[in-house]
Amino acid sequence: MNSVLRYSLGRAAQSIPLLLVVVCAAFALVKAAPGDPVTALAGDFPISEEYRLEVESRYGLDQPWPVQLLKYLGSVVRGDLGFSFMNNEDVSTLIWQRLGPTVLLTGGAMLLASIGGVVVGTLAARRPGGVVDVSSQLAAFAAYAMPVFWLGQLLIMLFAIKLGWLPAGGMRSLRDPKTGFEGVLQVGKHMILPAVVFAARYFAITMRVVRDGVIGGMDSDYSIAARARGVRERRILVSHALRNAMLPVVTILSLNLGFAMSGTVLIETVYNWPGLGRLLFDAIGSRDYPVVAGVFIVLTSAVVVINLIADILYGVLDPRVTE
Amino acid sequence: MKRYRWIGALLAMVLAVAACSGGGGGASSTTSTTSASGNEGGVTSTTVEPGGAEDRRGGTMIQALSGEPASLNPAITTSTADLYTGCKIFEGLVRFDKEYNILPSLAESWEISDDGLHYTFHLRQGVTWHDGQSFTAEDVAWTFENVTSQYGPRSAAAFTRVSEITVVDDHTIELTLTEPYGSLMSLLTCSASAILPKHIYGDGADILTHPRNNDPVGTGPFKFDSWERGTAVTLVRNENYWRADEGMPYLDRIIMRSFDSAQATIQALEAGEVDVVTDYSLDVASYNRLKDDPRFTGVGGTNNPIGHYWIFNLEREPLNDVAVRQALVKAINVALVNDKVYFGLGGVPKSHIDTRLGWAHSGEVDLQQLYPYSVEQANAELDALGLTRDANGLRFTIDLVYFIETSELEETAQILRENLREIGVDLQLRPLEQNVAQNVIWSDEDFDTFLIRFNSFGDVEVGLRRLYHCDATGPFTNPGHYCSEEVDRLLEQGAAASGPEGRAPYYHELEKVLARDLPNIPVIERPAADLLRKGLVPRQNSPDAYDGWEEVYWEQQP
Repeated sequence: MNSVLRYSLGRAAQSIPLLLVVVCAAFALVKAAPGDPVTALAGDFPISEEYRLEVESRYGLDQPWPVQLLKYLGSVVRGDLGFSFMNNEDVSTLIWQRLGPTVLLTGGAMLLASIGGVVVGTLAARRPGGVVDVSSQLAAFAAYAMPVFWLGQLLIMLFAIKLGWLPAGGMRSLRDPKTGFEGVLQVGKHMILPAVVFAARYFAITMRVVRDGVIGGMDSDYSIAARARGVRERRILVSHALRNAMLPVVTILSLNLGFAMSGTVLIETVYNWPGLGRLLFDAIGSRDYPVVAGVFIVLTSAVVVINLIADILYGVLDPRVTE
Repeated sequence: MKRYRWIGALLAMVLAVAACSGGGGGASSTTSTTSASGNEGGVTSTTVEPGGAEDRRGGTMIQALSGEPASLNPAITTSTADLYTGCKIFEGLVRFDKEYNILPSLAESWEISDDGLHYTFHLRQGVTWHDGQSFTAEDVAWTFENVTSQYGPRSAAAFTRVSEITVVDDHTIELTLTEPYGSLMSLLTCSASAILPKHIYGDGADILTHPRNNDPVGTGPFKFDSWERGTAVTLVRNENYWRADEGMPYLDRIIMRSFDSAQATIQALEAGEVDVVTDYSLDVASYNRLKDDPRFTGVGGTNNPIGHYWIFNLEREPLNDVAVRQALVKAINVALVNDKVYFGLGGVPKSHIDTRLGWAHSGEVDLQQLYPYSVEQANAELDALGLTRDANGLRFTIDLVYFIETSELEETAQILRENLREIGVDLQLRPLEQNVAQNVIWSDEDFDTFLIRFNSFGDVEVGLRRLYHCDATGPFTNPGHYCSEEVDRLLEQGAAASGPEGRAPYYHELEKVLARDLPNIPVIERPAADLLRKGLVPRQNSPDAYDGWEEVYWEQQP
C-alpha cells in the first residue's frame, strides 16, 4: 500500500505544472477572443471614455496582459482566485456556491450511466443477438448519437409541459421549497430529467464495453474451465466474466467523468441547473476572466483527481498493477 | 424476425415522442382571442376589477431574468437583470406614465424656474429605508454628488450641467444648472438615477464593489431577502412602503429567477415554474405563439419605444452619397419585415422618431410615403447615378453587421439581403457575437452597415441624440459619422427648451431633416411585450420596464 501512496503523491506533484499550463492557456484563450469586459459590464447603454478608463484602472485591465497574468498566478498560488467584477463577489465564493449542484448532477448521472450500463450490458451479453441485446444496442446507438440539447428539450416538452410529471428546470421548487427529507426528494425529482439526458451518452459507452467484455469472458478459457467444473451459467456470468469486464469500466468511468465535467455547460443551460457549467457560460459571454480561469482550474483539478482515484482503484481491482 | 419486431417497436416510441413535441402548448391552437392590433404587440386590455386592496394582497410572483444580476444596485448600471431586480428595491425621484408625463415617486412635487436653471424638489415625508432609517434630502444630495454624477451610465453626462446641489431642509432639495436642460426630469427615474442611502454607502467604501450592492437597503416596494447565485434573488414585501395605505405592494414575494437560455425560459413559463417573462427575455415568435393561449396573458407596451435601425457608415462609398441611400430605402420592404419577422405585431416606422414617442413625433413625416417601396424606382435611380451592374448583375457589395444572439435581427438581415439582391446590391451578412460586434462597430468602425436596436428611453435627447450629433464622437455614439449643423442646432435647442410642448417643435423639424438625409433607415418599431401567467394582473401605467411592480397582483392564484 505504501508504494500506492508514494505513486499517488508523485502523480499529484506531476499535476501541478500541468495545472499552471492549463491556467495560462485558459487565460491566453480568453484574452485572444475579441470583445472586452467593460462593454459587457456597461450593459446596453453607451458609456463615456472617462467612465471606461475609470473602470479599467479599477480592475487592472489597463495593465499589459503579462502583468495581469503574473499577478493572477501569484494570487492563485496563495489560494486566492481573484475578484469577479461582473458578480461583485470573490471568485472562490462563487465557485464554492456553484460546485455542489454540479457535483450532484454529474455524480448522479455517472452513477446512473455506470450502473445502468453494467446491468444492461450484462443482460445483453447473456444472449447475443437476442431481444435484449438488439434493443439495447439500438437504444445505445440512439443515446450516443442524439445531441444533448435536443434530447433535453424533447424530454422537457413531453414530461414537464405536456404531462406535467416532472419540473422543466432548476434544482428545487422556488414557489414551494421543501426542507429535510422532502427537500431531498424535491431535488431528486428535479434531477431526473437532466441526469437521464446527461447519462444517456455515457450509458451507451459503458453498456457497449460491458457487453463486449462479458461476451468475450463467457468464451474465455476460465469460463470453459468453470463450466467443465459444473459451475452454473449465472455464476460464471457474474463472478467470472463480469468481474473481468469491470476493469475497463473503471477506466471508462474516469474518462467519462472528465468529459462530463466539460459537458455540464450544455446540460446546465438546458435545465437551468445552478452549477459551474452555467457560471462558466456566463463568464465567457461577459469576458469575466477571473471566473473563467477559476472554473478551469477547478474542473482541471477535478479531472486530475478523478484520474488519480481511477489509478488507485485499478490497483485494488487488479492486484497485478500494485506489484 | 423477432429482431425486426423490436426495432419497429422502438422506432414507434421515438416517433411518438417526436409527435408530442410538435404542438407545444396543447390548448393553444383551439382558441383565438381578439386583441387590439397595431403597435403595442397585440395588447390584451386588462381593466382593474373593482374590489378592495385587501383582496389583492398576497401571493408569490416568479419573474424570469435573462442572465444573472451583476449587482442589485441600479444606480451604477444599465444591465437589464440588475435593473429589473434593483428597481423593485430602490426608487428614483420620479417615474413616467404611459404618455411620458412625469409622475411623482420619492419627490412628491417640484418646481422649475422660468429660466430652466433651478429645480426645487419637495420630497415625500415619512418614507423610511428598509432598515428603518428616515429618507431625507441628505440621501438625495449625497447620491447625486457621489454616485449619479460619477457612475450613472445614462445620467452622468446630464449632471455635468448641474453646478450646485443644495439641501434646503430635510425634505427639500434644489439643483442649479449651468444651462437649461429639458431632459433632466426624464433622467431621474430609478433606472437612470436611483437614490441610495447615505448611511449605508457613505462609509467611504467603493461604490462599484460595495458589499451592500449584494445585500441592499432601499426605499422601494420590495425588500431584499436572499440571493442564491445561479438560481434566484428573493424579494419580500416592504410593509412600510409609502403606498402601503393603498395596500401596495400587493405581492408578498417576488422571486427573480435567472436563465441563460431563451428556450429554457419559455419552457419554464409553460411548465408553470415562472409567472412573468418580460420583454428582454422574450422572443417575438414565442410571444406570438403564446399571447392568446388561455394559460397566459400577453401585455404590450411594457418597455420604452425601441426601434431597429439599419445604420450606414457615411465614410464609405457609395453610402456617403445621400442619393444612393435614398435609392436603397426604396428597395427595402419594411412592411414585409413587420409581417414575417414580427407577425405584424410591430409598427412600420414613419420617421426616425418612434410614433409611440407621441410628444416628440409630429405625424407630418411619413417615410413610407416619401420613399414608397419600389424596386423599379430604386433600380432606375441607381442606374442614373452611374452605379451600373457588372457582368454578374452586381452594382456594389456592402456588408451588414448584427448581433448573432438576436433571432429577429438575423431574420431581418435575411430580408434586407433578399431586397437588395433585387437591385443588384450584394449584402454580405456578418453575424457576430454581441460582445465582438460592439467592438467592430464602435471601436474599430470596421463596417459598411449594421443593424442594431436602439432604446429611445422615452426621450429623443436621452436615447437618440447619440446617433446623430456631430460632436458625439466618443464610444457608443454616432458610429456612421453623420454630421449636420442643422441637426446639431435642432438637438441642442430641443434639449434646452423646457417641457414637452416647448421641445416638440425642434424634434418635429429634426424628423424632416433626418428623413431627407437618411443617416440610417428605421426598419421596425419593435413590439415590447411581456407574457404573464393567467390570473396575474399586470402593471397599468408604466412604459418603463422597471417601475410600477407594486401594482401587480394575483386576481386568481395558481
